[in-house]
Amino acid sequence: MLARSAHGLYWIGRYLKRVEHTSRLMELQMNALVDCTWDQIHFGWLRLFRHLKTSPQNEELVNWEEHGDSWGLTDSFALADELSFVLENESSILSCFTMGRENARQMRHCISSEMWICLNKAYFEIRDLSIEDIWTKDPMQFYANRVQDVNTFMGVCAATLYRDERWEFLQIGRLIEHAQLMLALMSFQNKSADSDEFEDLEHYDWWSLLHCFQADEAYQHYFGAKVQPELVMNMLVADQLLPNSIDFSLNQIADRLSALGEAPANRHGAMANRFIGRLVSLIRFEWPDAENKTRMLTLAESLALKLHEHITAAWFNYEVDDSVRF
Amino acid sequence: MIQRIAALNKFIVDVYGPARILEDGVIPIDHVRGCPQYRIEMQGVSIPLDVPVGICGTDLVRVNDGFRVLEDNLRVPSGVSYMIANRQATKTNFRELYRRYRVRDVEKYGTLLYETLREFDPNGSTDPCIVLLTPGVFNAAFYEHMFLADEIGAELVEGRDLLVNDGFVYMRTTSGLRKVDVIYRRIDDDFIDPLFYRRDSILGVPGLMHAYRKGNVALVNAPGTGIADDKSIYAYVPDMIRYYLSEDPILQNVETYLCREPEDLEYTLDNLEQLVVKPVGGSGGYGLFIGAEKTAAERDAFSKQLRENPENYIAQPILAISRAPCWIERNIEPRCVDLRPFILTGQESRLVGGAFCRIALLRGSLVVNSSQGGGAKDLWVVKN
Repeated sequence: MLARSAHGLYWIGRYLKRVEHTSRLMELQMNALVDCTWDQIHFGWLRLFRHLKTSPQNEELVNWEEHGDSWGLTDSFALADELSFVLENESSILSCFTMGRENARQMRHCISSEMWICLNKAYFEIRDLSIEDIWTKDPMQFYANRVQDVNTFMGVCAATLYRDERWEFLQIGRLIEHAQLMLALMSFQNKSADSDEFEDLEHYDWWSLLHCFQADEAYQHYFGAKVQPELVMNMLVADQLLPNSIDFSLNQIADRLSALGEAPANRHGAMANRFIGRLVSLIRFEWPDAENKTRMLTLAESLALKLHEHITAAWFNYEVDDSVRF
Repeated sequence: MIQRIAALNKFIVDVYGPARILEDGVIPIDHVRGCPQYRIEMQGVSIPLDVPVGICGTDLVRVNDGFRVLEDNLRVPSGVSYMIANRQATKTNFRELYRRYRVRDVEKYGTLLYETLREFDPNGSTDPCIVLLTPGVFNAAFYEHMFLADEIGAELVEGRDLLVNDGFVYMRTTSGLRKVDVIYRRIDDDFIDPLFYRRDSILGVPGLMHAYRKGNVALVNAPGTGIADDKSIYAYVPDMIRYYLSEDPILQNVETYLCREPEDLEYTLDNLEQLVVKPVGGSGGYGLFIGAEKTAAERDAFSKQLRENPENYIAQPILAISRAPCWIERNIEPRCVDLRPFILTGQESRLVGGAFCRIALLRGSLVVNSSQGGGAKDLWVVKN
């Protein structure tokens, strides 16, 4: 297929995964606003912004945080707006939906009409909303609905998209985005657990993460009701059966890259395969014995970024040189 | 329509080849060679199938005594997707009514287009690589480009997706570079190759004309076809039909005054109130001067402009264009309409039984162009 179309599908997968991921954590944060302490609320916002690698566009909020003030309940309205509706913030839900839809608009001949209808419908449902519209009604439901939108879209993809490269690139985009976001999230969570700044963090934050990524039932089944941070971390990072774990995503990426076969730009294709191989082995075989988990997560984050770069150079934006196949 | 496109194709091949029609004085040589749409780079180029215009959208209007050709669109005619979309809307919303008539099908246009494009393959293979070249998502007709690419099963490519290597055109795919055989281009001549035409174009493909001139890729429509739909050349189409086909024209032109001719200019200036004056290189309804809608002072000012630059204009009588009942703001009202049937020509000419039917949305307006706020209707050609 046309390289640019494949690139577009890859980014549809990435943008919509980011919508789903951010929405899950926002739902969690909205829940925290109801009964959590000031510190927990502050931690929740920091976790969201830091692992998404974004800052509020509102300079006052940035300044407060830089000067050691907490982001508490009273800042939450503005902070939620930043991650939900501010188009200038590239990580906001509306921004990601808009970009995902724009990619789809340009790729309409590559996707099924039902996928387009589904995405379009979801986009128009939120396009004209603002934070005021959801804040006083049911913000948690709003974010839950966004997760449902993305799940529905992925379901329609699974039901209607032809299983050729289109499917593979959409899935690879989704899976890489998931792996990168989860690595960043786990890295932040792990660093925070080790630091003095958040020494009062309770089990709530670990349990809520399990719940957020649909791992709570499996956890209880295998480990009981007691929340043990190390077990939770292991589960979200290295569980081979949990669809939202990092290990699961990385293995899926490896399978899909292997299904794609040789890339047009051989050198980058080989590098992409090497990086996914290193990532899989890092998480599956080195993680259980690693003493410094934070360092390992940081390394994995940088490998995942390089993986993305090599996939892009190998299949989408390759240059014409001797390594390109005619 | 088929007669007309046959003559126009012969004319284009001729003017970029032996130029017999110019030598024989049927059309003044300076009218052709001095026309901004004349592309010297096409001189002597072998055009696949001798058919420079594979896709033509000719504008027809109906007046009291029959149909007239308003203009021929031979470069990158658009609107065919709206013809099909309108039909789909009608079939959805007027199911019973539609069922009662034996309406000719327009939805097979995609198949006809594919068959036509396939015939242009320079290698004559059974499965040529056909692409549709679009300026991109910001182009007003992008929807149509996408729609047509989907209909014919071609990749929708932008200039950056293509490259020329060793005189052949390739597209970047996820399996490597794939050789392209036929390009249905929806980019104007000026932007198609920055090495030949506008150097600042980022929409085109550097080296594309080189590959085309070598005969390694087919461009549909060929560059330089604008020479035959320029408004100053339009007046000569009946002469072309007689010259090339030895037939009388079946479809008539609208009477046209070439302002570059002193007699025609004087007539135009004397009768400005009854005429519509058009810039020769214009399209989309831009730059029209409808004398009856202007004040005396505006007509005087325009007369001066006309005298200073007469070769840039033609004039035509204001036509009593056919009207059709239209649904306007919850009322049925009469509006002017025109038709744009699409003629596909490869080894033979093909038409679907329908046309893109444009309407002037403003009451009393004669301007149906979509770019001027025109609307559209579904047109039914009913089987006898």
